[in-house]
Amino acid sequence: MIDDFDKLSVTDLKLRGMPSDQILAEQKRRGMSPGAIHDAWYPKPPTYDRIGSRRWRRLLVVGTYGGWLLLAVIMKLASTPDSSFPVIPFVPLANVVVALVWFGRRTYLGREVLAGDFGLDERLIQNRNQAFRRAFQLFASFALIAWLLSLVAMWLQPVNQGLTNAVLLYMGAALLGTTLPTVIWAWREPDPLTTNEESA
Amino acid sequence: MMAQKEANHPLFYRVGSRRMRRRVVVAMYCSWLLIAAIVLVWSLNSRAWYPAMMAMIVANSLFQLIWFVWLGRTYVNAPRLPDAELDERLLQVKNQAYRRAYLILAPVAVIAWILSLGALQWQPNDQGRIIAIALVVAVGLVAGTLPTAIVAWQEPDPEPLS
Repeated sequence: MIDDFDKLSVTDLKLRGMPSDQILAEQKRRGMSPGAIHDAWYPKPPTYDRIGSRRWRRLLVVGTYGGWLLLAVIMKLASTPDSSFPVIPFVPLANVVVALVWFGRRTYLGREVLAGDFGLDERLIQNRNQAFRRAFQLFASFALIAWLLSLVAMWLQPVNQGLTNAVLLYMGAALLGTTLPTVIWAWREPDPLTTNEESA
Repeated sequence: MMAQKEANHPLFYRVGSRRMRRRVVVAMYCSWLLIAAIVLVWSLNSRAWYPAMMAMIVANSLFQLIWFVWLGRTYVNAPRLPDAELDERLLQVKNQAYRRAYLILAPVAVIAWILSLGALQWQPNDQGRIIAIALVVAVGLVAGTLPTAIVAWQEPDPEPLS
C-alpha cells in the first residue's frame, strides 16, 4: 500500500484531495530534486505538440527553401560546362538536409502523421488535408513546367550543361514533392495554445 | 445560399452508380495507356517524334474533356468546384481526395521524371524523346484527373431523391 502511494504522481495526489503543501512535502520526502518537482507541477508539453511559434516556423520555411535555392545557384555557377560535379553530389545532399530539418522533429507536422490520421483531432485533419490540397495544386503545376524545361535543356544544351540544369530542376521538384504539404501546414498553423489558454 | 441552390439542383446528383463510375475511371486510364502504347510502337518504325507527341497530347486533352464534360457540375467533380458550392461533407471529401492524389502524384512524377531524363540521356534520338514526352503527358493526365477520379471511385451510390 505504501509502495503504491510512493508511485502516485502529482495529478493522482491532487485527485485524492491532498493539499498542495502536503504534495510538496511528499515530493521532498521522496528525495526529488527541485527541477523534478517543478517538472512534476508544470509538465512540459509532449514533443508531439512542440511545433514552435508560427513566426519561427515561417522563418524555418524561408530559411530552408532560401538556403537550398542559394546553394543551388552557387553550385550551378561553380559547375563547368563539361562537368556536373558540384551540383550532382551537393544539391541532392541539400535535399536530404532540408528533409531532415522538416521530418527529423517528431511533431505532428512530421512524416508519421502525413501517412495517417494517428494523434490528430478533427481540426488538425482538416488543416492537414487543406495543406495537401494546396500542395497538389502548386506541385502539379510546378512539376509539369519544370519537367518540360528540363527536357528542353537536355535537348538543346550540350550534354553536361543540359544534364546539370535538368538535375537542378529535378532536385527542386523532388524537394517540393517531399516537403511541400508539411511546409504549407507549418506556414498556416497558428501559434500553439499556452497551458493557461488550454485550461481556460 | 449558393450551396443550398446547388444542392437542390438535380444535375448535382446525376453521378451514376459507383460501379459505373469505377468502370469509367478504369476505361479512361486503360484507353490512354493503349493509345500511348500504340504511338510508342508506331514510332519505332518512324522518325517523326512531333506527330507522336501531338497524338498523345490530343488524346490527353480529349480524355480530360470527356471526363469533365461527363461529370460536369455534379458533386463527384467536387475537386473542380468552388468551395462555396459544396457543403461541409463534400468539402472534406474534396480535401481528402487531394491528399490521396498528392500521395500518388508526387512519387509517380518524381520516378517518371528521372526515367524520362534517363531515356533522353541513354537514347539520344527520337525514340528517347517520344518516351520522355509520353511520360510527361501521362503524368499531366494523372495530375489533371486524379482528384476527381478518386472522388468518383470512392463516393457511394447516390440516394434516390425524395
